[in-house]
Amino acid sequence: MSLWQQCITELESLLPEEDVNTWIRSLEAVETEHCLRLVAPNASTREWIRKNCLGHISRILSLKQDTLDVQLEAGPQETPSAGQETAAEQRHTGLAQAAEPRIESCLNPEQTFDTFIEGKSNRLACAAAQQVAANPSKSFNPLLFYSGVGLGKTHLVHAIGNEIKRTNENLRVLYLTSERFVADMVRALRKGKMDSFTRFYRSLNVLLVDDIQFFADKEQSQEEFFHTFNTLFQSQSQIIMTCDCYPAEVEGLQERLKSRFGWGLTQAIEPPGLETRVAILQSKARHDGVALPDEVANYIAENIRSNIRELEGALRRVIANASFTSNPITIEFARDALRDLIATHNRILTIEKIQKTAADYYSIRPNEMVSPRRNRTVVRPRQMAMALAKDLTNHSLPEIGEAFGGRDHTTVIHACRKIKDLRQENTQVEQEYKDLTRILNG
Amino acid sequence: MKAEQLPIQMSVGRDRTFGNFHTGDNAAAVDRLKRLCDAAGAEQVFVWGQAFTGKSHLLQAVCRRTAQRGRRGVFVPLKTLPGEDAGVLAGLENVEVICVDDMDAAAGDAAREEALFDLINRARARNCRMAFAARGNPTRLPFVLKDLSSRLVWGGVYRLAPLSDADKPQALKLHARERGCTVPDDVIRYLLHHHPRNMGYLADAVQRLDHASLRDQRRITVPFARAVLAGGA
Repeated sequence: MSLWQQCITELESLLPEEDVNTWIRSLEAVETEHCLRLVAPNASTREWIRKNCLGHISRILSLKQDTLDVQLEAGPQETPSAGQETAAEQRHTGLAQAAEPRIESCLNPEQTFDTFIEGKSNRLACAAAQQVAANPSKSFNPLLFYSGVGLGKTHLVHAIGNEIKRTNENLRVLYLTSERFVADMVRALRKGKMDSFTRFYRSLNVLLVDDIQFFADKEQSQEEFFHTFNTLFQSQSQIIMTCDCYPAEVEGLQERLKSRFGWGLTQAIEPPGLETRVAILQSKARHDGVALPDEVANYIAENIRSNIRELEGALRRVIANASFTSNPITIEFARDALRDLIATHNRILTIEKIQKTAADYYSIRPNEMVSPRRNRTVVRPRQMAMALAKDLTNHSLPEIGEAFGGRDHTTVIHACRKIKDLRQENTQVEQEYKDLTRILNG
Repeated sequence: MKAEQLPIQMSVGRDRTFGNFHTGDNAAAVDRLKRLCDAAGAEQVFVWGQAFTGKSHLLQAVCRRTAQRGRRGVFVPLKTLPGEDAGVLAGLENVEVICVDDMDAAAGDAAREEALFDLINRARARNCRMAFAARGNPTRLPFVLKDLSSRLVWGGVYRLAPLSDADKPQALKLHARERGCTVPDDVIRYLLHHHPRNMGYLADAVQRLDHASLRDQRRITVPFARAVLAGGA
């Protein structure tokens, strides 16, 4: 066990567990012969450690190795987005691509045209993307995609970038989010390196900027982006952007930017239809090496309509559950795995709701649930409703008894036992219990 | 007059691990979280459920298990985290596993949501693994930033079911044992039959019984429990 791990073990007995997990475990320890360098992920963590436990750490370590020097520092607070800091410093103005060093494009190699599922909802956007990828800066410039969240904008943008890199290896292509642009600019300002920042961004051949809506209300970033845009446009570099709505509708974005964004092609991506959603699921399952039966893909696609990320999340869950339980993926299995996802699960079940649902199910009047009547047609549904109230809510047994016409909690216990026994003996009762649970859980 | 025994007010430390989590009906979610600690590459899981279903316990268990595998994990409790989010969340993408608790505390706060959105983007670019927890389903929490809620569901969303009544006696006994006291079966039955059955209330009831038992120098019995819990002692 390393010195630092030994130290953490001792700190666990001195500090609340939450503090250990929040602050201590995030430290990176670099051990040398006479020095232990602790690197915190940010300045806030470094300060917390300094104020609350650096004394403990030094004392524990000095008992283990008295000549050890402990240093605490904060690591880089922002991940360089494109290795541009070093590259930018070496760079000269101008776009002569052969003279420029290569940069890290930050493209996801998995998001290509091959893995993009085309459908009616995104056909135009996909066609425009392919055209731009084939002829950067010669067809639509700028190219802007807009849509609601999780509909494939980012995938298309990466696909364009990857395709351009595949066919023009030497082009300087950079993908980034608008927040990264802002963060890089703030860092450059802080370090007095705005010249490098400006030179770097204006030297790109293809700039892909995701989520431009986050430029809203950031005046200085908009100013810088405006000039970057103009320079790139004039030098016939390709600009591709995404936005979560039609750019003219973004509040807090300068009019001159909105107007420039509209110079090329602005293309909407609509939510995918059922067939496209099924195709997306099949494609992702194939990618994971999983055989997804058509009826299961249909079931998931019919029930998850909001966006592709949610669709993917649902699929991952079905696949993970199947792997965990070693069960085949069937429609029943998927229904069970996604029950709470598909249901309106934020709803809180009340005893009244259970009474009404059970009354409807057994075709009796809801007020029979609370009535003193004890004939068989009423007693069984009432017992079932009591058992469900116990299983599906956190009400105490006296509360449940009270809600069923002021009955005693022992009546509730009796009802629950009765239903439990009947479910084991009688498949019909078991089925009724399952049906009602499914209805109540949505 | 007999002097009253004053119990020492101290919190009982308890390591939150997968080993002492009562899985109940949540085996699939627990398995996903364990894999998050073990696997390589980007992975993401969101768990949600009502209070006292063990969300924070599980996220802290993830941090511990990650550390046992020689990697760094960080637990980020949004509700109690001091300082501005942008500062506290900066650089966390350099940690292998990030566990963000109380996501509902950020819902509706545009600046917090943006800081988290930015963290998720940075973390995915670095192939970090992330676990989130909240009291509500991420698709229904009132996030201003729809980009954030859509990113939260990417890896799979699991609802944590509360413990069933069949599992509660064992959980309460373990809780009592960790406090150093014994709660007889008939008292546990009494609690489950006569009081709210959520684990938060029940764990608190055990704590109150333990405290009163030390103070009054009496064994924990059903009449004693009835008197203590009725009197709010």
